[in-house]
Amino acid sequence: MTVFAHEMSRGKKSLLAWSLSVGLMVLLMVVLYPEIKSSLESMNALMSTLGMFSKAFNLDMIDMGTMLGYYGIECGNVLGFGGPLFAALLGMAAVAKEEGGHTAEFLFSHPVKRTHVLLEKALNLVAQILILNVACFALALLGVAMIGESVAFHDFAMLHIGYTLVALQVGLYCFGISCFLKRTSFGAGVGLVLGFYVLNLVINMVREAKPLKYLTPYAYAEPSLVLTRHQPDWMLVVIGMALALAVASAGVVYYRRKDLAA
Amino acid sequence: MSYAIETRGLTKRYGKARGIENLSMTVETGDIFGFIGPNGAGKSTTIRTLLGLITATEGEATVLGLSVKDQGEQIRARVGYMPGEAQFDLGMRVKEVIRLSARLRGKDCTQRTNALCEQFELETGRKISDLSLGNRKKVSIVCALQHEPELLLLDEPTSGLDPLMQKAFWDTLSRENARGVTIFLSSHVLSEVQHRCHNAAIIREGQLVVADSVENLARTAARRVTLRGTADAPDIPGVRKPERTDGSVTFLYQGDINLLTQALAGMRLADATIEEMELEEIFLHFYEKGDGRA
Repeated sequence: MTVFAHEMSRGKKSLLAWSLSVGLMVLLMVVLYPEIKSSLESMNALMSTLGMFSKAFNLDMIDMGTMLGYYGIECGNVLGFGGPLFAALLGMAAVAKEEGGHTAEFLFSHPVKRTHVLLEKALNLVAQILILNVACFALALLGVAMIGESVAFHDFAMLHIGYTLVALQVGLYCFGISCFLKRTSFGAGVGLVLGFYVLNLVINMVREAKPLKYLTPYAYAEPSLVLTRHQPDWMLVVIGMALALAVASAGVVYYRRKDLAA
Repeated sequence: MSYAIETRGLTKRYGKARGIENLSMTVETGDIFGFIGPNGAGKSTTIRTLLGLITATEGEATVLGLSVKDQGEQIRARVGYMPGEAQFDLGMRVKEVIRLSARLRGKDCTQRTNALCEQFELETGRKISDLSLGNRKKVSIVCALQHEPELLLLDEPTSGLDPLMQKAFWDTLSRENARGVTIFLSSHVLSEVQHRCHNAAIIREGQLVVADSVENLARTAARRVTLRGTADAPDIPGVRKPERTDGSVTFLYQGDINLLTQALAGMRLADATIEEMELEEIFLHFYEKGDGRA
């Protein structure tokens, strides 16, 4: 587990910065709730009449006046973007940084199997994504305790589990793509996250686009859906994860025989 | 005879671009073998193929009796490698890089690492990004040697090292070789190959031109002959490139030495010298021939 330990050690500062940034923003959103609670109740009716805008964000299906409804929307904006963006950047750099930074020659001139190195790098990716999401969940719970609100813990946890799975799926996609690249492409990672997010908005707005829900992980983590069903859509989770694992595996298979740049 | 390295028809192509072509050669166990060629000749491609960093298009190779194709991990466990350009994670410290290298090998090399760092005056607390090219090269030397490999694959090992460090480096290699380590090194510095290596090969445009002992390479190649007291070179086969200066002529001669001495005996000369060519001249000689192949 040398590569795993090395990657964790090299990534700890970045992980801390991201966990604090996203986690503290989540905490801020929670502690602001009592201040804007009354305004939210009056906004609720207005929000559900904004036509396509309401449809895109499922505002007509969620009660912004409740702590969970408010948190679902805000969590979607902060954790729903922050977590997957972190995962995308981490995944994109995971393998391609070695060739881009000219360190692949150093790493792979040691008695290591490429598959083992990639598995340890993937493990590091998963571990860092989980740590960030657990930290955010802990800070969110701290926020809830600070304002003295009571929330249905199960639904609250399911919202976080949904976004953790989104981040994991994005991370695995980017990890797989990274195996094919000669240098890190953060732009492609950010583009992928935005693409998934926009695709989900389109699916919410256009009935004919519904079959595309299998492609974007945001479809199963949709707060309105999670709060209504009290869980993510597990069928979509399984299909999404299978697709992401297929891309990651294809990357590993390709990288095993790849000529490494000096 | 056991071979530390053996290649048979080893070929690497990058699409349509040439890497190495049909390379067949052997390096004996315990040898110090020089691999000579200009930039782009295929030296690094050969070394990187032997390490499994790139995959051969055709042919096969064994290192320490192990197949490059199937036993790369075992080979790399017993080999020390110095790349042409030592590149490490710029954010790491020297000691972290060296420790990572040892851990990737699953070895505790502390004692030997400390000795090497002291010998090469390496400041292990410094960040890689703060190091000069020469100091990065020293990190590479320690990483290549700390696990006591049986074979050293060194790609342009002395480039970037100051003369004192070069001496320390060669002293270390001599000691390693004395305890049985095989050394395969590529170099542009022909004088160091001539003085340090037992055998050498010249590679040209991806193909092996010649491989022999350094002594034989020097012996079998042309001699440089300088005649004073005449402006004419003897009219015999094997005389090339006569250059006339005031009252003397210098030419290269490749042929039967008795024929030359007979021809010279019939000439009136003030002085005559016959010298072996430096490896550098031999190298140019093989390159100028163009069609020369082993």
